Amino acid sequence: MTLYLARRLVTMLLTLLALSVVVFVVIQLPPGDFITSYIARLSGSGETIDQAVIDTLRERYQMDAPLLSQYWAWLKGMLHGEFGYSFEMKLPVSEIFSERIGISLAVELLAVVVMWAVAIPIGIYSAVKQYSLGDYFATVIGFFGLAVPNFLFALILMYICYVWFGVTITGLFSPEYMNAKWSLARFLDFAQHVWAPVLVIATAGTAQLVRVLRANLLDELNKPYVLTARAKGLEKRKVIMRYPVRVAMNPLVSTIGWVLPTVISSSFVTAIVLNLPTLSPILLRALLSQDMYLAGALILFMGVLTMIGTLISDLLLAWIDPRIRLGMVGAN
Amino acid sequence: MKTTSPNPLHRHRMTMLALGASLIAAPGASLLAADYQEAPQLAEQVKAGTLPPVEERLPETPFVLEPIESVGKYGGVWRSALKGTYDNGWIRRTVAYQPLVAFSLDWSEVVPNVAESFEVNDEATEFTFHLRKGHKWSDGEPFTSADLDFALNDIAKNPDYKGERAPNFNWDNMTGEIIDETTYRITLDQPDGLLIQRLASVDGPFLTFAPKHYCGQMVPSVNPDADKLASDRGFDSWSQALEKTCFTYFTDAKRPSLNAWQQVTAYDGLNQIIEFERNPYFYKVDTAGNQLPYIDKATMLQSENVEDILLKVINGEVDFSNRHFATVTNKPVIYDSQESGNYRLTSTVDARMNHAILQLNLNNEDPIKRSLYNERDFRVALSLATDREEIVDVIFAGQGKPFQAAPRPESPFYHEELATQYTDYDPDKANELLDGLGLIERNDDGIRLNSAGEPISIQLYTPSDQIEFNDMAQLIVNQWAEVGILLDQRNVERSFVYERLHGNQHDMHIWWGDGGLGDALLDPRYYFPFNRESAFALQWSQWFNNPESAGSSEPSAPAKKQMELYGQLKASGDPAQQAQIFKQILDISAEQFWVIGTVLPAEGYAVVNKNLGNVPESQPYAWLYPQPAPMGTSQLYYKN
Amino acid sequence: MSSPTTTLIEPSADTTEESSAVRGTLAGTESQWQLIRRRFRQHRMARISLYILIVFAICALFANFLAPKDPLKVQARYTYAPPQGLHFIDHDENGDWSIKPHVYGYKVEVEPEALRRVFVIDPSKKIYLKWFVEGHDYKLLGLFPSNIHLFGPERKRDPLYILGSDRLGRDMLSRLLLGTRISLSVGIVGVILSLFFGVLIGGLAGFYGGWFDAVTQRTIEFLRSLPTIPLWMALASAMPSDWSPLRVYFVITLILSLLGWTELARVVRGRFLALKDEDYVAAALYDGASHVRVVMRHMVPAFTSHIITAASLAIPGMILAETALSFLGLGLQSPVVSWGVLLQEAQNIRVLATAPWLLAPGLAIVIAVLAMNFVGDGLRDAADPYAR
Repeated sequence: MTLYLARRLVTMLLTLLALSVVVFVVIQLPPGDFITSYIARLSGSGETIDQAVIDTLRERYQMDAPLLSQYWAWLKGMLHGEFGYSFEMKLPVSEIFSERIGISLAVELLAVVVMWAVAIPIGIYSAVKQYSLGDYFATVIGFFGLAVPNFLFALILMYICYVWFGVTITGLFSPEYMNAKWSLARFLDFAQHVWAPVLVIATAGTAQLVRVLRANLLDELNKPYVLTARAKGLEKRKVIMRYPVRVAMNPLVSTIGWVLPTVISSSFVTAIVLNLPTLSPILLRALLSQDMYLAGALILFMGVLTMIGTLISDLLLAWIDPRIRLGMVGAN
Repeated sequence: MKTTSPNPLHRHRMTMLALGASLIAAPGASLLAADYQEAPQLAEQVKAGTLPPVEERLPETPFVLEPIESVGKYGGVWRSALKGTYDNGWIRRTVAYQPLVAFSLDWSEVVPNVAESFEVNDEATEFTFHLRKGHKWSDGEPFTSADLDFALNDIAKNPDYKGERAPNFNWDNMTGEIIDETTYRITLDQPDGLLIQRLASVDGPFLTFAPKHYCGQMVPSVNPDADKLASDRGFDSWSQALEKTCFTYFTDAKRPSLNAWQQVTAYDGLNQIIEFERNPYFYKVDTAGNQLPYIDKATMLQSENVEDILLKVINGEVDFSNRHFATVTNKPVIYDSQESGNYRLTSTVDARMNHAILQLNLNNEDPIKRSLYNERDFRVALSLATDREEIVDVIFAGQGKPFQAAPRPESPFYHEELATQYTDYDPDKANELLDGLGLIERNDDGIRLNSAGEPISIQLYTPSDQIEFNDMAQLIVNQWAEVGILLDQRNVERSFVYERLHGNQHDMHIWWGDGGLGDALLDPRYYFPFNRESAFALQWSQWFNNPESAGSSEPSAPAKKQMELYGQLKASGDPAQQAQIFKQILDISAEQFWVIGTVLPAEGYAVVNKNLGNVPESQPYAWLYPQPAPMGTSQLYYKN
Repeated sequence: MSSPTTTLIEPSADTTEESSAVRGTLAGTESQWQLIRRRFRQHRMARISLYILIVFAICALFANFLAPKDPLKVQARYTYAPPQGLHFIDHDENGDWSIKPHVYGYKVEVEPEALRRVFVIDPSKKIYLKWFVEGHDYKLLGLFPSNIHLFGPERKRDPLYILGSDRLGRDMLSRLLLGTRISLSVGIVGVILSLFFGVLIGGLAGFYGGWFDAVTQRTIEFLRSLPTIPLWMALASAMPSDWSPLRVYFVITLILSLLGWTELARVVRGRFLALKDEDYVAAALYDGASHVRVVMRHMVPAFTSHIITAASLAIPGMILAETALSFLGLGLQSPVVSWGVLLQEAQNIRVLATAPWLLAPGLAIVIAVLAMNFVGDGLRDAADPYAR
């Protein structure tokens, strides 16, 4: 077990290294660099910038250095725990990160919890009562959530709340609590705002979970061992919960590690429309303005999350389904 | 000697910008010190002994601001919104415009502001500014000519400073000199008759932006340990530290200022609301002796998208703004919600003279394209093939009129020929001209072939965040196809447009027509190859700014002549003479027909809380004239 | 729900009359596909959905023929014109009626203050529709040049905006039809690509294990750890700008499927791992069955349902991904018309407040995605080897 874990950790580090190369290349891929996008943005509002200043900035940010040496400088910094400096926000990346990570994870985790909490009972229900009215209802609602593009859902929600209730639901806090310290009042204010993004993010994911769970469970429900158990007089509810549900969760578990990163990715668009103070808008801006170090660090972070998630799901998989040995999961 | 006072707004014709060899004194009569009143919160602090009394906080001769409508009362919050992390422009336009000299409300003249008065010599080489005795920064420290000298010599002119600095100034040309504590003089090697205007523009406040006692600690020439200080605070260099604190990013809320409201929260992209609080040391009073500003606080919500801002506007959560949301597209929605949102609309006169200028790249790297684009008849034909009425109808609901790249009719520089030539839709004439250029052969799709036998295809990249450019271009694609010219238009990410542009890889560029009102002299980018924004002749503009620079090439004779004339214009301090030279420049523009204009923008609008007083009913809108700040935002007040 | 006792006798009673119908045929000699078809027909929602999808497919194939107007033609006078509504029964002045499809014309006013046109439907102006009218030129199925359209106004210049018009006065119905073609094909081609890679690679990895599995695992893990949207953004914006719209479209599809296969591969691999140790697989192997036979005959059917579910969820996923890319201003761009492009143009307060008909592509997406899911669902149930 320890050996297995150690091996996994080593491969994770190697993957991370490869990831850093790809991330670096990917960010550099679009034409132009931060300075170009900065100039473009200034022109947008009628502003101008002197050529001399452009040259100075390029020199300071080492934009014209060879890619390899830029990469090496970045990597070296990260090994020392320095993630670089955001050109755009004029802040160390680590500071931006630590400021926003809490609230981002809170929203994402809340969405994940809501997703699972809603999806598992509905999934089991619609598998057990296949083709019942409830099943159809859950299916249609679920698919609807899946089918409406996040940004459209968010936008319509915003507009409906404005027209019907005269409130703007964007953001996670009211103006008076935005810069305040955490307190009970601020938490309550947060609770009043967080439902909208959680609703939008969770709706899309829930449907998918329900469908997969329902499908898996249907596979299991018809297997002979279920019949046998029922034939032996075991209570139906017990039978279902004890075996088929566990087995049906298996494929779900194999993707649990991806849930978090996927949610972050899918909340990307939602966070922009609903103006959430999370990391997503910052990542989008960083990507658009080619704020290299900030974008790079954020993408790497998402990569690390996925890897940890994959590891967890492999461990869980082995735990839930003992037929899968750890040795088979890892490299051998 | 000439005395000026704030004029009521001239809506239709801007008068000449008054400046030159005259002493311009501060407006208004001086009040007795005992007459000054202050906001209730400040009075309490004075009573509690935490703040000196108002007479001591104000300079000896405060700026007396004559209210637009009436003397107001204290209280309230001015709410507006910022988009993303780059929107320091709005802060500069609203709460941070306190230059030495400022534009008047109607943009007709330059008036003293922080400076009590100023003098310019006849040769436009010597500029003397007189500060107010006893003027203080927002932290109570004295503001003197040493602060101006620090901003000019230790930052702007400092060759070791590797950071952003105010654009459009020729630093090598400027020498600053402290005469005494309240007198400062800038001397130029080459005369510059436009410097005073430049100092009154949005770029001007750099001189009054950096308190020496605060920013000085980050500059080695003042504090030898600046580098250590910077690295202690986590910066790479002192330049970086200084840029972050004392350039116009507003990323440091602790920097003292001369503004009506002092920043409280940093605009660092993380704070979701940026707050500004009454500056107890603000130097302006109203005609009744009340220290300004009336409004207690200004708050700006940081939002990620314009739709969110728009929703806040129509929900009445924005008190006075036109930033980002006041577009043609959004007008119906904003118009409809005036009742429910408790706001009204005031008008703005856009200084931009065109919704879109089409610039064929006369410096194109491809010799065939270059020679074709340099044919004046070709450009004229394209202009005649453009149905501007259709553009006005489709995109601007019939509001606006056909216009070339020329100063607006409201401008003193209006040039009728330049403005109206070739704006008629006349495809027959266009075809005739194109035929006349020998472009007679066509391919199967009806596209004319160039001298190499290839179909004439002009590539145009429109920035995807400016939907109106995309829409206009789509109309023009169809219109030009009628005369056998293929406009290959693509919608792409904005920085990509600029990447192509700065690499001189573009066939054509589309952008707003800046430089239509008082900014025509300062930013004549479409009248001759002037700066990086003159996309029709980037290499020529680079030659103009520095003939030795890489990527510059020698301009054609008429362009050179225009550049020469502009040099003469700058050398003159006399507005009448400047106007006369400028007319000659425009004559050549009309004759050359460098770029193709489309539509003159109709009146714009701003959203104003119904309860807000002292708001101008109409105001110019431009970047160099940082609307609404020249109105004196400190006089805004809530009626109830 | 049946009680435990009845279940003992008839374990599948909870699926009601359908299962009994199926049971009746089990004794017969129908092939697997006949069985699937039969079971599929019993899934009512799936059946309806299939018809809907067929309609969508027809719309996509014959988009140009069905579109009454040129989807790119700008009409200055009719910007943001509301839907006209279709009428079939025509009353003449004598009070007699006849079946004559028509729409009503508009009364147009410009409000200069509000900067808009105001449209009032004018019932006194009737615009009659004609079948098989001549209109703009196009190529049927991309091959045969034609200018005949299924229907159109009698007089070519009359306004016909059954679903309203957009900000440039372009006909929404025609745009929607054309968008169907692009969006559906992006989804289907993308999923076919990811299915191919996913099943092949995932299957091999799960079945053979060893170094191949290890490499695949790492590759998938690696690809998965790349956050999708930033990756798409970078790839999409790095695309050479002088590519033709068609080429951009194919590359976007490829980009979308580049990441789609990993999820499928991982799931397939997981199932293979679990199935490999099943006694019947081992038995088949000991029996001397070839690997291919074991896989195709014994293992694949065991999780076909899962693949179908995954695929039926993946197509809409692709379509939605395309819209998300368009939302970010990347991906397909006008003048190419796709649902994503249309929605991107509609995603603002102005449209929500004054021109909600421009959200029609959103409705189309919802219907298509719903239908695909139901069909996938029906297929899953039908293909289930354990079904009764």
